[in-house]
Amino acid sequence: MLRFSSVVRLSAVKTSIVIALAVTVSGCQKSETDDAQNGSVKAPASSATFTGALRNNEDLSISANLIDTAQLGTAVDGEGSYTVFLPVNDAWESLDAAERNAIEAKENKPQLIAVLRQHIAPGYVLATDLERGLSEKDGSVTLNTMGAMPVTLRREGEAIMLGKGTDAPRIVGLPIVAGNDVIYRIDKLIPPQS
Amino acid sequence: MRNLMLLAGIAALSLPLSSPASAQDKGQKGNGGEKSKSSQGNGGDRKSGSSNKNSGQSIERAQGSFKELSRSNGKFEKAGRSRPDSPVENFARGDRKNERQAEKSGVVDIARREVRRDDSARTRSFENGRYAWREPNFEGCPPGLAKKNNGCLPPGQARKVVALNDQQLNWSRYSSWFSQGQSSDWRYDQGYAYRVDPTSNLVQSVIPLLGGALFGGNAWPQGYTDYQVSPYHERFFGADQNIALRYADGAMFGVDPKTQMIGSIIGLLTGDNWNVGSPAPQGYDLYNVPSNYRDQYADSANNAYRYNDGYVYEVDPTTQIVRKIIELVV
Repeated sequence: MLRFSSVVRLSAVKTSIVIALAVTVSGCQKSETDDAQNGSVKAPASSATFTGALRNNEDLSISANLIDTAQLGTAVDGEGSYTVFLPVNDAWESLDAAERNAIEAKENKPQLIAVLRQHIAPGYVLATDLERGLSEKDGSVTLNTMGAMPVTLRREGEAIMLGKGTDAPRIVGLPIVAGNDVIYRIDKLIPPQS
Repeated sequence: MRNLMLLAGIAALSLPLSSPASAQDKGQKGNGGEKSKSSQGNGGDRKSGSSNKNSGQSIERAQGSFKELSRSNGKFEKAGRSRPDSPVENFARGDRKNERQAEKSGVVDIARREVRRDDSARTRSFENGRYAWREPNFEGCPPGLAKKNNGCLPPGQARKVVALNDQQLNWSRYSSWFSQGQSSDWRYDQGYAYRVDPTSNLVQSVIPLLGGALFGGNAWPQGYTDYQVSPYHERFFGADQNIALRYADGAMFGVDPKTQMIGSIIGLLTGDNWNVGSPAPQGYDLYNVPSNYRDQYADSANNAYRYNDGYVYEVDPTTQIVRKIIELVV
């Protein structure tokens, strides 16, 4: 595959801010920065870039491989700023085999990219931003995506879920700040519209 | 079983990348040549610019460039190079007469700054729970195929395309992310979407898709000319003599200007429609300004800020009316 030094340069200039989000998403009301600086909680793995963060987090290795297959790593590492909801490995592994094969089939890369784009939102949404928005919007907020439709995030007890229903994917673990991007782990793929 | 697809992103393919509303006005005013194509070079007839940043303008630039800020780990730095005018800035200049008049009277009427969007601008809307893109108008052909009476395919291949269905594609339910499922005249085959006339069964349009024909290592589709990139986005994503930028299917591509080979996907864009004086698009409930700009553009009781596609937008937190479009690169 052709690579350009310019593109590499674009990736390299991403901000190296690696402030670990030192709070869980649920119940997070304090500044991530403050928490990290105070050392009040255990800092999660983090990286200067989106792709670097994926390499550092084994539970996201399948998503990392698919991002690589889709050639979207350079896009997210580049100049734009994104919030990415990435399924953990268990989420991919729980898919029906035929579905997973169809998404990952070499000839179906447009579909793979469409699935991944549905998990990418514009901008840099920290856990504190999410908490604040949920508090101000009665527990439900909408984020536009790079995919086919927006995604609604809603509070359900202590969990934050994406979409409707009790089976909707939920945010798990600690978010990762990587350069100008924020990564949230989710336990399932965002399901297609029924 | 749905056997015909309207692909969610394909409408965007034929339409030039939108800048915020103000940017569109430039072309309508006939100021000339602002919508550049990467293949046409980056210089064109753009003029060397001066900052238009002032309190009365709807457009302003952040201090320092996005890249420079990134390189300096958050420290604000002024980029030391001159910059060409963007269509946004040129719109702002064109609107200054009214602005000055308003300022003289001590009143700045934001609504008056609203501009008409170029009809060819690439934007999406939200309809029936999904994004809706305008129908593409690209009628080019895949590499090596001339446009013929059957659309642009040899009769045999055209029949094959018409016969395509989901089973042949072997797609899962997740393919609904890929299709709108509301139109009966689109098919997918080997990296392209085909629009088929339901009456004549002739292939009318061929659209290259991200992940299909539009993918690193492929040549940019021959004859596919709808890839306009605004001068601002050329600066934002970093076009230079070694990398030309092209835009299609919601993605920005780096293309070798000599070989026309696609090198990488260098950005994803929403195409959401932000207009000064109009309500902000839905789907921006959360503060999302990139880290380097949070001090400068922090939400308050009087102002809200949102990021999208390389811009920060100032929004009235009560009315949700967009007040300013803020460029992040010099």
